[in-house]
Amino acid sequence: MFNKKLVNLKKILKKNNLSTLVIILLFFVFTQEFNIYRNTFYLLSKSHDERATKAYKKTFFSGYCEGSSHGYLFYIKKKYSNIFHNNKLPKIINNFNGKQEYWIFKNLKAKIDENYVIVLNGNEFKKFESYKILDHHENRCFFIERIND
Amino acid sequence: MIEILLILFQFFLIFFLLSFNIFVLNIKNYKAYGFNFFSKNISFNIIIFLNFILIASFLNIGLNKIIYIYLFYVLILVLINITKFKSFLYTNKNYFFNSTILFISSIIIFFEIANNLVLGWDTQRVWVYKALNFYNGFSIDNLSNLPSPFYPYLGSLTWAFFWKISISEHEYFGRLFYVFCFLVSLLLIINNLNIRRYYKIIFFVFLIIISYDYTYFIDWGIFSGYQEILIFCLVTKASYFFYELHKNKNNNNENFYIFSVLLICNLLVWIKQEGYIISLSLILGLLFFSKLNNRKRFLIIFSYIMILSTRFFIFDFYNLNPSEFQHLGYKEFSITGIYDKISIDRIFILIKFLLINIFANYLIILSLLIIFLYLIKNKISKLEFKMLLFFFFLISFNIIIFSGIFIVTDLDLAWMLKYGFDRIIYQISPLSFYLLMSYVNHLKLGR
Repeated sequence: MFNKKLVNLKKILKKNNLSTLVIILLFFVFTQEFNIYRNTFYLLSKSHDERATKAYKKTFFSGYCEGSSHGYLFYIKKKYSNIFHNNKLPKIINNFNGKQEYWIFKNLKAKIDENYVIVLNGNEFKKFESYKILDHHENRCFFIERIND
Repeated sequence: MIEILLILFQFFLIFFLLSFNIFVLNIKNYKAYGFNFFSKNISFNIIIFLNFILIASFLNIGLNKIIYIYLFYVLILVLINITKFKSFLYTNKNYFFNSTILFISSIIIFFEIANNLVLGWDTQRVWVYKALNFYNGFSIDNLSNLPSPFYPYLGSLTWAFFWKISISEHEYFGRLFYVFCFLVSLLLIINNLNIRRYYKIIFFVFLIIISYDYTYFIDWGIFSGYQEILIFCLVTKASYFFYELHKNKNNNNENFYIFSVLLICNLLVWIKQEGYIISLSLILGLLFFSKLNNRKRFLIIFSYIMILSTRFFIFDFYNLNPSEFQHLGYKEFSITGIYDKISIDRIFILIKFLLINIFANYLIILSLLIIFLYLIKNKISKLEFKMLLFFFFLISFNIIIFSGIFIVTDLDLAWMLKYGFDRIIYQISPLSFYLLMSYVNHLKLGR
């Protein structure tokens, strides 16, 4: 049964050599156009946030700690998820373009908790004397927490 | 590895939810539809699905309830059609061929979306918050608390629907529906071309490539959450229905095609503001270029007025537009104000950007090429001439009205044109498919 099918397939391929070749070539052009091999590799080897960070680095409005700084926001969201799980979000201050990408936290029900602040693209801490630094990236992006007296 | 499996599962989930409908599967002689049955069925299901969730959202219920209602609807359809569907799958080879092509192309683009996770600029300002509104369990009345409440929300609702129904928590799972919708629309066109299956595959890949990566001025991907892709898909489907309507003089399915175009018009006004103009052009096309009796014309006009009234009524009822604002960059609407904005300089700027964007769009270039081929053709049939006129009417109507809207903007005209006009052209570019079907099918290549 299997041999019979194989013979039939061989006959068809022999008959339509050029057509088959064109279809195969087309398939490769298509997969190349959409980077299927590279994409599959990254899907297997990198997490969602890593891929997102990498993608935003290529845009004109963002980067890891530039512009809207999506990369840093993804990083903080993951690292301090225990702080934000209880319907609380950190305040975001972006000194570059003022954009506050709260959508990254995917929670519209959450309240902004002023005890935690993410400062992007800046190092002016006069306003934040009563805060301690929990995390920073190259003294440009900070995650800070209010100190309880 | 898990994410890849989840993506595969998402494809089958979308495919399953959109495979059944009460209208098409009940047609006894489905074999008569031949090659086009698959894409026609799913395309129509997408239109029904979008209208379904839109109307459900009017009831001010949360997304979970909308999902349960839709799943119940699908369950009933499955129970009604399961016996027919099973025998249908075994007997119709075209169905298998089409679903294989759709599966392979969807997975390839799904993987691209899963890696290129950037949300576009406007998406991060407007659309993602509307999607989050539904994803977080809020209903439409909460949209007034979000940025740009005056924009419609259907695209975001769809995004949230497939995001919520997926097993994954990542937002891009919702956007995979846009890819599915895009590919089904192209399949619908390809399947309606009277060419051999081998050429269909070539055309399919070719059309995906020329309509996928559309970047000229700014960095916006068509699947980065922008709503233009949904309008693109719906205009593609409308082009198909118009072609079917015009193709035969004695059309048995005339009412079905008119009904489909009206459903599409209803969706367009709930996706983006541009939908008003595009839907108006489709309605005028229906009235001017189809042989309809007065009763049908009246019904079409009445339906369109109802569509627009519902749109404004719902926005008013839930107070979604307290500022009475329709679009950013349009505040001054006095006659003197509009008159002051129209000058020779501004018209030249407009023409410059219009030409740039027309020649930057591959589908428009394709239609220009087809028009050229028509011009050098010895004989054009009456039907072909009518189809050409119809295409010119739709394209010129949209371009003239949109140009008029751009020229009266309060913002910097060059800036507005630079960041907006390419997307307008993209949304109306699927009208080229109408011309493509008209030209290729009259070549009489045969299958």
